[in-house]
Amino acid sequence: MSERVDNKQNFTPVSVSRLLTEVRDLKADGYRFCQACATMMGDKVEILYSFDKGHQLKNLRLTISQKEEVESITGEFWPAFIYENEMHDLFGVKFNHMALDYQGNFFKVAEPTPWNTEKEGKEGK
Amino acid sequence: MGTFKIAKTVVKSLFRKPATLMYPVVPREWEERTRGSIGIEVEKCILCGICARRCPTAAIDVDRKGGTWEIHRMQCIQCGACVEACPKDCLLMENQYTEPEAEKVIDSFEVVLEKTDTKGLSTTIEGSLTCDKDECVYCGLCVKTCPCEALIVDRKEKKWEVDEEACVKCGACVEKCPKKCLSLGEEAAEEATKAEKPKKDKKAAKADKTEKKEKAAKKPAAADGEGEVLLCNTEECIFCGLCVKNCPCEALVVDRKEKKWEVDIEACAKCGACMENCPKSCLSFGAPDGKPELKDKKPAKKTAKKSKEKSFPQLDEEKCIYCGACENACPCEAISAEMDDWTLDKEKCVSCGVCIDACPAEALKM
Amino acid sequence: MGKKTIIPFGPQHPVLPEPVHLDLVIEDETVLEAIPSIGFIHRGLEKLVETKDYTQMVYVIERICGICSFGHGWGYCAAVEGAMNVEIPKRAEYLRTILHELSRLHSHLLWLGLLADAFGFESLFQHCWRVRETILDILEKTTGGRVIFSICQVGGMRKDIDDKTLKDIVAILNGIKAEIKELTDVFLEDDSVKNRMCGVGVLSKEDAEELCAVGPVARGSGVVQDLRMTNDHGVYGELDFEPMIEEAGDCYARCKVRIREVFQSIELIEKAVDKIPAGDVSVEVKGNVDGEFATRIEQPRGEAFYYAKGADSKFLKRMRVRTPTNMNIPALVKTLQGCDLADVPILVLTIDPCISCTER
Repeated sequence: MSERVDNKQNFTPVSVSRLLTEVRDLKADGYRFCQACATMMGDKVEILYSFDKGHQLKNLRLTISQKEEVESITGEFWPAFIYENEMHDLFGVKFNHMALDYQGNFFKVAEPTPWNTEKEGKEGK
Repeated sequence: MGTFKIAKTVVKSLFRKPATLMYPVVPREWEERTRGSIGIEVEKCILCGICARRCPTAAIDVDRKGGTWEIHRMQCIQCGACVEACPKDCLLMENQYTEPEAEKVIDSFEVVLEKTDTKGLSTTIEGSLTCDKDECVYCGLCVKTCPCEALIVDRKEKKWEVDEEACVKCGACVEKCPKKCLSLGEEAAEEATKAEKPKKDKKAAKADKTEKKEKAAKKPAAADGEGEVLLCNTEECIFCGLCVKNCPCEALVVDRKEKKWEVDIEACAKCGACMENCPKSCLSFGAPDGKPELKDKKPAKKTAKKSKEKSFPQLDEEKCIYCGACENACPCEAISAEMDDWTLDKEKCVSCGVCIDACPAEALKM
Repeated sequence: MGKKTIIPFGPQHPVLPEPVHLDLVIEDETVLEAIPSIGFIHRGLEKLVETKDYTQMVYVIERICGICSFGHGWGYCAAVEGAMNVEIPKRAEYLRTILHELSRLHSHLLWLGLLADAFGFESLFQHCWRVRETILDILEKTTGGRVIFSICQVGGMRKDIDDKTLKDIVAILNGIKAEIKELTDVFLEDDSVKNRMCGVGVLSKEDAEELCAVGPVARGSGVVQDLRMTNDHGVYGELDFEPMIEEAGDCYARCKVRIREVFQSIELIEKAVDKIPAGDVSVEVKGNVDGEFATRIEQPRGEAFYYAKGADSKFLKRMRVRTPTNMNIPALVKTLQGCDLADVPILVLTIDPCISCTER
């Protein structure tokens, strides 16, 4: 049976242009997509992608500005559509080429991008 | 493989007592730990409002002026955070659930504030926290101890302010104040106004001040002079490090192995907190390079005598409650207080007597 | 060839205790495609970390879910403890493991009941829940709450459970083992039950890996994936834990995984009670949270992900909770393709969906 695993914290920074290449490499390496989440860091948005292989957790950290658009990873990991739609609805991060795009209707929110406090021209204020 | 596999269970159930309870005819027996609802012993409550602040769902309302303590029963999640936070232990977790209601229930309790404080402090609602600014050294220790963040102290500006709205008059700062310049309650307020009145008259104020100064000079812990700094008589000093622990300004460094005692003159507020607790009374205020003058010789003699005999704290096993207070208080880590096993490392012990002061059960003697 | 019809499934449906919506594109009786949509009850609990300090937040996080509540409390505490570099006492780690396994027991028994209900076996449903009540009584006696324990805190446990009570728990569990066996035999051996589950909703091993399924769903398809194999949480390493794997990938396999886990949990609790060391159950935690920490917990429904990011204050900058159902929805959508409309409720249930968890 498989060995017991000790996990070490790791957060590898990644750039917008390298993201898809890195994710593709991880997929080829046999990694499984775990989750993605966004955090507001002042006027920047930090996106954390987590992957798992044999119970080892690997995190990629992507930092983008408000206007930047991110290439969707749903081409590699289809289940990521849940997280990308969530980040789009709550933080207003724009993803290109999503496999399943709910057009901002994934969460039923009273005002657009409620968790993005810095968004320019934020409606509903 | 088979059909009707559940037959055995079904047949058994025919002869079994019902699994359900004929509620409410037969009442449910609650466990001791069941988190049912929050109860309050109103006579102990001081309306400090810490429970309201700790509540994750904002289910508790404390109105200090109106003298009421309210709980929104339907909003309460019975987590027990308030019970843990209550400084007076007046909140308790009862194992009875709140009765179901058609409306959202708010239970209100009248709290009459009287002189109930065990520490002899008056917690009358009219009285407020006051500071005798002539005594105050603006050390900021009160700010650190305040649970409500109601105090503002600025040493440079010589400012001491209390936010009347935020202050809950718990008395924590009064106890901690190294200069005993804080007071609470009606009497204190009166005293404060009295003291303030003569200030208007400049002459009187001056007289008052000089009088105070004289008084202060008699005390060991006075350092009104600007040029004076904190000094340590290193011949007497046992480098126990108790002064470091008591310093509100983190201005002291003591290294027992190196036999080093250092003070950061910039940081030192000259509050005298370190001197009060010094087991050897080796601390004093004086000119930077001058020899430290030991103004108060009594305690010094006392301790000197002690150290000559090299007496050790002794335990009265019948009184000891094995709370570990002595272990925590010991500056030399010479005591270990396990359940039913109290040991003293005589090598490490410096006979400072801190443990005796710390013992709540008075089980220790020199 | 029939006409394509779209049947809305949920948000209100007899098998769904919580609102999730599926647009089922069907042709005759066969489902061609299913489009999920959630977000009916999004509560924004993750955002609350900005207004509730890190000690209060435990009670909020615990209420993400009414069934795997303890796992959430533990995951949150583990993440904050990690960010603050706090090491909790061994006894607390054991107690957390024991309580977590107890909640797995009651969660799986609840699920078995719901499954029986989904294919119309009402008496089996009632019997499962009757047995589950014994476990709820244990939980109430030890923690004070039936499903929401509020016993976990940053730095350990709020209350200790004494050794005698722990021994009693083991005795009670061994006592109901026979009863559970009787009921699970119905699931595994009764023909009418097997007809509804065997070969239904097959998720191949490749699909399970591709769709990143977690927990019993992945294990039912032969994927070796159980976070109790890591040393991230609990003391499973000292209890000789081995994951339960079934190869078939159908509803029956997923059901069997959970049933085997029920008995495994009883064993784990027994071993943990034998080995539990004496000592404190909590350490004092002071100061602000700084730094970040990502950790995972194996919940009854699968892998849950927790990420805490401090901002050198009492309030966290970000708390991320990713629940197992989130990860299993893609797998559900996949297995629904090509199944019979009548099997949809069973398929939805075999991923053990917890929508409140998903929407936090």
